[in-house]
Amino acid sequence: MKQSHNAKELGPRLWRSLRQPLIAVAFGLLVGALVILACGQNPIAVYIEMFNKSFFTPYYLFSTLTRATPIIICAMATGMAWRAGYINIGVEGQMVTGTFVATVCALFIPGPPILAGLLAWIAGMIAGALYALLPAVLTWKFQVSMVITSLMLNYVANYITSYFVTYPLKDTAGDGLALQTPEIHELMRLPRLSTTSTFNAGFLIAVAVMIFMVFITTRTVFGYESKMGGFNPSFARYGGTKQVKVMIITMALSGAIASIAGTAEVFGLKYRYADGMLSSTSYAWTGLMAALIADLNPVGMFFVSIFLSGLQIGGSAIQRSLGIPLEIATIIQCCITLFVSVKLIFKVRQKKPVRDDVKEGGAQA
Amino acid sequence: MKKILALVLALTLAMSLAACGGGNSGGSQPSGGDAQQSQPSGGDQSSGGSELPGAGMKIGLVCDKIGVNPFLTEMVRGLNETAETYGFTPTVVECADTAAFEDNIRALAAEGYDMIIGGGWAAGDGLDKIAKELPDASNYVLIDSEVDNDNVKCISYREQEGAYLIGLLAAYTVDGESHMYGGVHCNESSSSWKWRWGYQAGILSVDPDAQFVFNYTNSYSDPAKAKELALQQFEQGCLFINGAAAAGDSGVYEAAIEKGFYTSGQDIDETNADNPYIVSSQIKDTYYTMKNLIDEFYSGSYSKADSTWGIAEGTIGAVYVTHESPNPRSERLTDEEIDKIRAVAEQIGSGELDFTTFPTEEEFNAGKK
Repeated sequence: MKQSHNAKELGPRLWRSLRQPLIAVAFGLLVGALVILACGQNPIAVYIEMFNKSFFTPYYLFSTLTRATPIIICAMATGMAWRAGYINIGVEGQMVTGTFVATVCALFIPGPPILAGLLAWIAGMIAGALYALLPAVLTWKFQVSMVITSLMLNYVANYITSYFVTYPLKDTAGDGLALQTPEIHELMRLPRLSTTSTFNAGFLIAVAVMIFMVFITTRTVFGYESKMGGFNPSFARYGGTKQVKVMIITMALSGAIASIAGTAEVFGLKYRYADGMLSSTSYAWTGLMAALIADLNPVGMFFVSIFLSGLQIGGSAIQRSLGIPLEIATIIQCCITLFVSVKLIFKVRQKKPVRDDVKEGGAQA
Repeated sequence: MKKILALVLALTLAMSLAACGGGNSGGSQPSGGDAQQSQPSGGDQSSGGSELPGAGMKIGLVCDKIGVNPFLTEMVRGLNETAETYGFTPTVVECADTAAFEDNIRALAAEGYDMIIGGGWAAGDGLDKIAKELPDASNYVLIDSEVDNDNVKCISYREQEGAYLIGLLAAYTVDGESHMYGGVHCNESSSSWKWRWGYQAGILSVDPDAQFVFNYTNSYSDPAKAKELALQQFEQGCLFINGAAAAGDSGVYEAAIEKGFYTSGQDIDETNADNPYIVSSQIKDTYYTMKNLIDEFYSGSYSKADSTWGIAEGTIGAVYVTHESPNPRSERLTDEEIDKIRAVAEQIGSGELDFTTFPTEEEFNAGKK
């Protein structure tokens, strides 16, 4: 029944799903334009420069895609948990933990570098998954709000890794001022896909993660169960879903994916773990924005992440050439997210009467 | 909630930065008088008719968020002023996060900048990488840090010399009223040891019974934490607390007024007629560094060799000793005491007192016990 519904109004449906993000983007750019005007510059010229130096010139496009890599994967990690109704905002902590473990393994596992590198990726994913299980277990056993625990665990992860990078694992080459580990072996590094920029195979990993995500959500029983759990927990329980199992697997997957985001950054771009490299860049939060804007749709998240990354790259370009503060790009981003959250409210309003009509067991809002 | 908070913060930040940004571009505009005409024409020198050696050239400074951090504001001042002298186009790129350093340096290299200057250690890794990948794209300079790369000119400082003078000033200020000396610093890394070593060695040369307590803000811009740490050190009996927490020092000054202990600043002359407790300031003259660097660049004496600057070069010192101040000196410091410290400064400058090598933290602590 649903499919015929789909086919009948595909055009309007597509429009409806794109309408809000597009309006949000337009409003975001409009607010940005006001701020640029306040800086005494011409918004149109600034925007042309900004998009030229983020999407329409090959060199900058590669920069955009490189920066988008961790953002895309973080968005997927966020989407994985959120679509199942688990508000995991600890992607940053899971990413930091996983990446740090992967880097340490890459530095210290003996043997052939390629094998050690592979083991490091796996170890990182396991670490990220375990770290994501902490809030899951707290929710399951003690009914602690996952929003709070997962958020707070970000700080724990950041400070613990900060300690290790500052003291025992610090690279003492040079003057030793930078808080970072030594570089990983050359054979472990992901190949570059462009000669002029840092664009590397990490982006292909991001694409693979997106495909995996699409597969999980549309083609597996687990994907269906977790989605049901997100839509209507009572119905899912009634339908025989083992909620604890679904929660554990969902969170573990989310944490493992989060870990890939940072590991790809280390193995593809930085070649070492530096203090604050994943938190000061706000990859996880940008990914969260992307996930919200795209309404947790994997393909949508992929493109929105690239768009947001382009805003950041273009933002630093206009800072360099026109002296516009970098924060303009942040303002535009935040405004887009803000205007998109308006959509969420519309949705709740539209859904309610339907629920009242059907009067099924799950009307618990 | 967090998002809304973040948005509000971003907005206020952006607004305040917009104001700064406007000022910045205003500052660089006049310099563009000649450069502006020649820049659009690229390498074409026939238009404009300017004879300034830097016309049509571009020099970029990549650094942390500048804000009110004097280490960076002075650097920017040096860059903009030399731009007026030589007619090149200055660009200041502030980096909000660690990934941005490499991105921006790479972009400046791709955009054909003639010189890329990294202001502070955070730029080191990015400069190192790009100077290896694109060795001929630009001239790479790193200020206040060192990387193992012959293609990056590293300018670092002998901060221990200035810190030693501050140590002497501290000991003479306290005059034995307390043997506890404090310090609020940025971080506990091995390279900030030269600050702590100089300060301790200076005090110990006057007050052999001195004991020290150091705390770290782990940030370059956290006045609230710096103030809290200073208050704690005062409670432990410190009468002199050395402020070396970058933009966090203002917190130490505030605590000094509240509790009446003495303190010192860093980088520029931080003495203040309204705050008699700031008895001196450990100078690290990034304005002069920048000026000197660019003068060398245009006079032809520029080389890629690393250099380390100290009192002898005039970039390191202490207010009232090697540098004058318009503000009145604290009455805790007599003329004789200042003369003694000046004599030491001269000895350091002439090389009679050699602080280029000094004990490591482990050796120093072992020697104390």
